[in-house]
Amino acid sequence: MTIERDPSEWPRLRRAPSDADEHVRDLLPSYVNGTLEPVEFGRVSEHLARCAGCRAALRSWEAIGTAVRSSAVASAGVRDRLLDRVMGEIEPTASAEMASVPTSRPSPSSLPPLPATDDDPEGAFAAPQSIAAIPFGLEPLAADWHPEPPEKGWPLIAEVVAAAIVLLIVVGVFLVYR
Amino acid sequence: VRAREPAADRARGLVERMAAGDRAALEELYTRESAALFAYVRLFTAERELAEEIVQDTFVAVWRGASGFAGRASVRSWLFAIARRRAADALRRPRLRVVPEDAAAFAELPSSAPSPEDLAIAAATRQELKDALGRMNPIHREALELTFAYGLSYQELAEVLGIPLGTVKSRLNHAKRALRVLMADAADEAERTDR
Repeated sequence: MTIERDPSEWPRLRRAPSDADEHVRDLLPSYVNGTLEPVEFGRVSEHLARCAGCRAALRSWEAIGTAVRSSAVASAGVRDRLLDRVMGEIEPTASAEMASVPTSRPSPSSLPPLPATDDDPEGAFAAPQSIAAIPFGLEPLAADWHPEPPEKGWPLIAEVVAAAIVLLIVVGVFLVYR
Repeated sequence: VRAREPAADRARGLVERMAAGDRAALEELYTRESAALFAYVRLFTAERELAEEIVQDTFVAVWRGASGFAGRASVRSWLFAIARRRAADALRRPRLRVVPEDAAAFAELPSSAPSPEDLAIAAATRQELKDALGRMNPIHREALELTFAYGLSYQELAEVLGIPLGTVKSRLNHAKRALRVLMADAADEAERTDR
């Protein structure tokens, strides 16, 4: 059963709201957008069932959310050529450069922490300066990281085989026409 | 919350692939997020070309910074935070800031009765609300859009905006109050015009 508070009780509730009357208005935007944790979601739902004030607040947030979503969609839209500009800027010679990237490259989690800034105290959002300063973005990411040296053995064998074939042809021609 | 996790995992996977030099991952991330980022950036500038440049710069920065993404935040909040900083740089403002907010000043006294503000907003037409949103301070509208158009959690909002969780809540309440004031101003204006 839903119990509506008598308005005459407001002053008392303002002075000393009990735990049962702990309002949930601060949580309503996240309740509406579906990001509230399940435990909190249950608590808010339960409270809404018995609090007319918070239900009214919920309806106002729902109205705002609907209006915001319809406004944002109306202003969305990016030209396809923007993707071409992005791809063109990150790396003009991507295929050649990517072919040289070894699979042993360090994973993001193994990299050193980024410097902290005022609005990013943990450095989570900071672009590494060393990366920003180097073009193409495929540079080594750690000071002690180096690409694997190119294999030398295979090209040497190929050269020996080719020389032997040429020598055999020359000898054969010499024997035929002698 | 759980429904968001597969998408979040997918986005983290894309960033890891980008860190390994996979351009296709950047293209996929662009396809998923560019429209949202573009609409977000348009909050700060009416110039379409400038907004496009900011979005372009954002994705280039994301590509170059992919290896530094530690995964402590969601990919989406990381993207929005970078876009926000790029917008601030492009607009030559050191930081996008709203007037100082005092959480206590905007805290509502607990009450079980519907507030006039909530009743007025709930009763407004969608067009009235959209008109008021169009006149709103970009910083307030930003908080509303990140919450309702892009579905960020309070924690993600705090990361994007660079403010404590408590201030996230007060900023949203402040935005709602500002919306109500703008609606009342519009009603007063209409009344004066009718006379």
